[in-house]
Amino acid sequence: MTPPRAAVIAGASAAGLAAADGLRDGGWTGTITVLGEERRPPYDRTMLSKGLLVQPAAQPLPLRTPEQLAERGIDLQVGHAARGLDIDRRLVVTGDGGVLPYDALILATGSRPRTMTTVDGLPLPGLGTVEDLELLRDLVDAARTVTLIGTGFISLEIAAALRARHVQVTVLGADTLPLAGCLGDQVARWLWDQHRTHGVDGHLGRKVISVGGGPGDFLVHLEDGSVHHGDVALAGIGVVPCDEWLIGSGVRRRGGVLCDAAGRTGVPDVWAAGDLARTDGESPGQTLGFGHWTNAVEQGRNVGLNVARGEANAYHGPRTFWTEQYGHTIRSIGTREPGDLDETVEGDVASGEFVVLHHGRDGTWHGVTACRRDRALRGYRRLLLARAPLADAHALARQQLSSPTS
Amino acid sequence: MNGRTRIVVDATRCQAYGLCVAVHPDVFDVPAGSPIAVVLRDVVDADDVADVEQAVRVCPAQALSLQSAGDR
Ligand SMILES: Cc1cc2nc3c(=O)[nH]c(=O)nc-3n(C[C@H](O)[C@H](O)[C@H](O)COP(=O)(O)OP(=O)(O)OC[C@H]3O[C@@H](n4cnc5c(N)ncnc54)[C@H](O)[C@@H]3O)c2cc1C
Ligand code: SF4
Repeated sequence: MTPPRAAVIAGASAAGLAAADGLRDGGWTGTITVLGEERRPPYDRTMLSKGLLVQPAAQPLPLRTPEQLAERGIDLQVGHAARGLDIDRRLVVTGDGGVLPYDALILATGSRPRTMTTVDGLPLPGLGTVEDLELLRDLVDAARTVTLIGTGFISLEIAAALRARHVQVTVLGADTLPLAGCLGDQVARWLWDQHRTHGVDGHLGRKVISVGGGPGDFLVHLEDGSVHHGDVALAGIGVVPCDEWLIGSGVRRRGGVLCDAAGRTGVPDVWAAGDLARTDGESPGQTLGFGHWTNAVEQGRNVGLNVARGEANAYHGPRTFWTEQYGHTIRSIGTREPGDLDETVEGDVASGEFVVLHHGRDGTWHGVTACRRDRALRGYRRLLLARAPLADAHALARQQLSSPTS
Repeated sequence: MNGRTRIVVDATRCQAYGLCVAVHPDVFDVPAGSPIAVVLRDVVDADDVADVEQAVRVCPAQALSLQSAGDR
């Protein structure tokens, strides 16, 4: 009798669990082992920088119940990291020195906050895990002023959450207008105005040169010579892939694990998904990473289905993300390419209720960003999925305006 | 299976993110002020199923589940 085939998934979060479900949904009858470095069962990471930071003690929601895992025959091993990979013998080396043989391996170890240290080598806290959240809560409890370095989504969400706790917040970053690249100038300006209205102090468009001092009195030096004090200094300067365990393994990496749109890494039976993966774009040589939840889930599931069915279907679903700041939930579907025009087709950005299309000057339509128009979004999503031309989006906007759905 | 499915929102888990609404607004809604999503049509037809299943997968709180309408 041949032993059951073994699927090993490294990384127990959005992508890894979706891959496990995809395997079962695709008919995988072998074993499924999911390795997770974190000690606690997988949870909703997106909540860390939102409601959870405002509340003193609430915990994020677990992604699966033990019953759900048992029912689907998914062996989740938390606190058990992958530390190495032998692609010739098809073994994953784990943190306790053990080895796990695989017939199929899915790499889904995600990303972690990029670290930044003070001139004395003290690492500044970031926010990527529940442990980080707990540390941050403690720090913030004892602080009057917090200096946030970086102006990405997570940083701005942290700023908004800290304002809800009445902490004085200073945001520092090299971008003159946070998030303008992905939301467009108008929406980005409106969002930054929300921060200003809620009392966030910003010094933008100037690079951070160094951070000195320590707990209770951090001093952040900017390139214009100004120095900004904070009881606490936090780093929100993006993420780096958790791929160091693959160094020397033969899996190709460049800012993450390289794979095709189906999730294949080029190493036989080794696949990748989620924040860790950098997939082939549509033009030659282009690779894309997309560090957002829905993408991790859908990509993970697609890989699981491919492995189970012995197929190599590409995942080309539109990229979507959301962010929540000061009670406004902004959603984007598709992309905004550099130089895109941003056209408001429903509502009005200043009112906080809008649909904005992102398209090239040649009329190629790339994506849509909306706030308080959730019910309008499905139509645009379908059009983007069908690669419809801009004219169809305009027609949809006219139709939705004449018969509002919400 | 008769192709009809019932959607259940777990009120203890739903965080009113509204991702489900963006995926399928004819089926899900988070009314202003509501702490959880409401299902506008709790039995969905075969042609809604793909979008509803996507909503179930991407809900970060894993608050949605599907039951075959014949189940109870
Ligand atoms: C604070 C915060 C807020 C966010 N908010 C949003 C949001 O509002 N909207 C949105 O779309 N996205 C948001 N994101 C991004 C979203 O959470 C990620 O895109 C998503 O979690 C990626 O899923 P993943 O499974 O690929 O990787 P991750 O969630 O990063 O999970 C990877 C897992 O693998 C584990 N791991 C790492 N190395 C190893 C190893 N060697 N062996 C075993 N396990 C390992 C890690 O511990 C981790 O648990 C947010 C992220 C953060 C940090
Ligand atoms: S996506 Fe999930 S958490 Fe969000 S409103 Fe829908 S059911 Fe609730």
